Amino acid sequence: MRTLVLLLLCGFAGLFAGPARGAPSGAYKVVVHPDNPVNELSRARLSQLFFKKSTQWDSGVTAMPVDLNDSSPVRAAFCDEVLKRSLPAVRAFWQQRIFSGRDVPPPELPSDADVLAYVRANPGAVGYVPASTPTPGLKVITLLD
Amino acid sequence: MFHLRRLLLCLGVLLVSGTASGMSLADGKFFIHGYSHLSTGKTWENVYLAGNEDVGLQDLGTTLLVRALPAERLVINTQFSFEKAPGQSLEPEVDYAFAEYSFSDAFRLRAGRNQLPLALYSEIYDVGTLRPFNALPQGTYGPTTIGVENYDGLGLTGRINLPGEWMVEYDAYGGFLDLKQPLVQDCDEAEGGVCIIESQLLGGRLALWAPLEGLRFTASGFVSRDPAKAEGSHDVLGVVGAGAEYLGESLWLRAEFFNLFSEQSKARTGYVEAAYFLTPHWQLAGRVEGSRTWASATAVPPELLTYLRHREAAVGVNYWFNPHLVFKVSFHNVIGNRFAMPEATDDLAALLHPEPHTRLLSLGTQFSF
Repeated sequence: MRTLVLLLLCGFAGLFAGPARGAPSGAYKVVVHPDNPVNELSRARLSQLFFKKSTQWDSGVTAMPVDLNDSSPVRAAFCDEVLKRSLPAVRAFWQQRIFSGRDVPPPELPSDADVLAYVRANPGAVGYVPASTPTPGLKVITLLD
Repeated sequence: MFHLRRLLLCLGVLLVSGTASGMSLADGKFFIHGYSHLSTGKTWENVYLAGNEDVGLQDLGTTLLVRALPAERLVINTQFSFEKAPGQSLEPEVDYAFAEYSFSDAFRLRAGRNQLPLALYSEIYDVGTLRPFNALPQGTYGPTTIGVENYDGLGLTGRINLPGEWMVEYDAYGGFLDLKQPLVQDCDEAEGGVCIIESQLLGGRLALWAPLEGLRFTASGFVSRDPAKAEGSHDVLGVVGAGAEYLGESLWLRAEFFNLFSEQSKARTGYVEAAYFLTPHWQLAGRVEGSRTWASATAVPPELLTYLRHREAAVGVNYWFNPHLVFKVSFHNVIGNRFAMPEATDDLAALLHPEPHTRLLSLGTQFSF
C-alpha cells in the first residue's frame, strides 16, 4: 500500500515536471558550407540526412546535420515541413535509435549564430536558421519538394 | 531502507524530467543517456509481473548508456543496468558493450556484447518511455527463449536506401547467447526461475522502413545449439518471427508473431498492441496476446497444460508529462499459468491445480534522458 501511495505522489509531483511543447510554424532557410557543391536538395533527401538514414553527401563527404534546440519555433516548423513529423515524434524516433545503440541525433545548438558557426566550420555540415537571419559566407540551398 | 531507495529514484525522476535530454560532451564525441522504471501491481490470484495479492513486489531498474566516438568511423557503446526483478535483489549488469566500425552506411561491423536484433522491442527491452504498458508482452519478451536481450559475438548491420523513400536495414550476427528455458533437474545455472543455457547462435533480421515515417516491417530469426551436450548430439533450437510497427503522431500500433521449435518443445506466441494519444498527455492503450507451448519429449497431464498456456487482454491509461516521463496504469486479464504463477508454496496440491485466471492492476512510472 505504501508503494501505491508513493507512486501516486510521484505522479502528482510529476505534473510540475513541464508539459510537452507545441509546434508553432516559422520560415527557415537551409544553409551549407560554401565548398559544398550542392545548390538544391529535395525535401526527402534532407530528411534522410537529418534522420541519419544517409550519412554522406553525393560527393562522399560525411554529412553533419545540425539542429536548433527545441525551444526554437523554427525547429518545430522544420520538423513539420521537412521531416514530416512533430518535434515530440522526432524525439521519440531518436530515443528509439539511441537506446537501441544505433545512432545519436544531430547536435542541438542554442542559437542561430551557433548553427551558422558550426556550418562555417564543417564542410559537410547542413543546418537551418530563420529566413530573416543573415548568412554571410554560407551557401543557402534551394529546397525542392 | 528499500522505501528510501524508491523515494530517491522518484526524486531523480522529477529532477531530470524537466529538462530531459541526453548529455553530449567533448564536442559531440561523447554521449550519456539513461532511463529508469518502477512498477508494482495488485493481483487477484497468482503472481504476475511485478504484482501479487499484497502489492508487495516491485520491478525497478535504472540504466546508464555511454556512447563514445573516438574516431570518425568508430563508435563504442556501453550500457549498464541496476535491475531488481520481483523477489530478487538489486544487481548490476552489463546490457551491452560493443565497438562498431562503419565502412559505409550499408556495412557496419560490430564486436562485443550486442543487443539481440530480433523482435521490435528486443533492443529497447527496458526503455519504458518507448512503449504503452509497464511490461512487454510476456510470450515474446518474458522468461522465454525468445526474450533474450543480448549476445556476445560479431554482427554486421547496415541500411540501404531504396527508391521511393523505402529503406532496408539488415542485421546478421553470430556468437553466443544465454537461452532462458524452464527449470529442469539438471540445470547448471538458474536465474529468476529459469534455466540459463549457454548456446552458440547464428541469426539475422531484415527491417523494411516504409516511406510513411514511423512504419516498418520486420522478419527475423536465429538458430542456436547447446554445445555442452553429449558429443555428437546437439540441442538445436530455432526462432523465426515477423512484426510490423507504426509509430505515428497519435497512434502507435505493433504486432508480432514468433514461432519457436526444438526437439524438446515448440511454441507460438503473438500479440497486437495499440495506443492512442487523446491529447499530448493522455494516452489509451490496449493489447491482446496469446502464447502456447507444446512439449514434444514428455507427455503433460491435462491438469498441468495451463502451465503451457498464456492468453491476455490488457487495457491501460497513461499520462505523459513529456516524451521522457510517463505514469502508467493498466488492467490485465490473464488465462493460463505460463507466466502468471501460483505463489511459491510447499503445498503440492495447490501447484498441481493452479487457478488459471489472473487479474492484475499494474502501476508504474518510467523516464528517460
